[in-house]
Amino acid sequence: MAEPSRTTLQNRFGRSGPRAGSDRKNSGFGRLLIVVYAVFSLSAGVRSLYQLATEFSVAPLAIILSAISAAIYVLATIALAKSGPGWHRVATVAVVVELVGVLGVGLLSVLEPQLFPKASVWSHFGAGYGYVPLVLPIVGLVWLWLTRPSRRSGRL
Amino acid sequence: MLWGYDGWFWASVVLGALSCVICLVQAARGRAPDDFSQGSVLVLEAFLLVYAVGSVFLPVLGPDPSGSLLEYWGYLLTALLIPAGTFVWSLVERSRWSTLILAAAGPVVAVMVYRMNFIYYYQ
Repeated sequence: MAEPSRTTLQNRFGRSGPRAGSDRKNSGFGRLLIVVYAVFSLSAGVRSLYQLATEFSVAPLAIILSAISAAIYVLATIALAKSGPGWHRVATVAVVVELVGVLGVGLLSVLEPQLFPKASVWSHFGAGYGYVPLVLPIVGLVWLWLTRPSRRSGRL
Repeated sequence: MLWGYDGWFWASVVLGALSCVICLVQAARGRAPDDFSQGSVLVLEAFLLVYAVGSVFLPVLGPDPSGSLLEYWGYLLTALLIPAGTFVWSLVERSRWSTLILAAAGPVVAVMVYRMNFIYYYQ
């Protein structure tokens, strides 16, 4: 093994000892899911803040829905990163709302396009984001089901 | 202005490339985030903070913005979150993959500063 790394910054800012607050939901593949949700929170959040400030009068409904979707992504990110059965429930609710939202807004934007002159994250089932917004809640629900707190025995 | 982009952009390219190379080398050596990789993204964060202060004075000392100042600041605030976010992530996740995530910060910051240059001078 090579010489040990210099970790002054880690020792100064990192938490020492075994990591608290870790369970099945937020480790392994769950970490990747949290990163993807965090990226969506950031991009949807910044975009909706910008739209709220500049384009609100053009498309109030689409922009309110954008803001709501950004808030749900933020909530889902936090709930997925926390541990314990309570946060598991919050995460499940947030991801279900997300799925209903992307299906509802997607359908509405196809049937009533005049309501959505400005694109939002969820319009056309997230086509502008490579349909990731449509796939993400499904993957999220499968992951939450596999890591449900009542499932005591056995490994994934 | 050099080839149409300002000193801030070229500084971000140099610092971003250096940080990316350092993190890639450390990841290739199988290192968890250490002073070299974590330090390099903290340097990027410090650069962006100086850039933010500089951006306050840019409309006064430099040319008027041709694009939307609001969009410019939207990009700048988002850019500020990126090295900070990867650093916090690297404190928690102690693996070589985390070092690889740190490597992404440099190129992303350079692209963000490029977009901000474009908004300010050409949009």
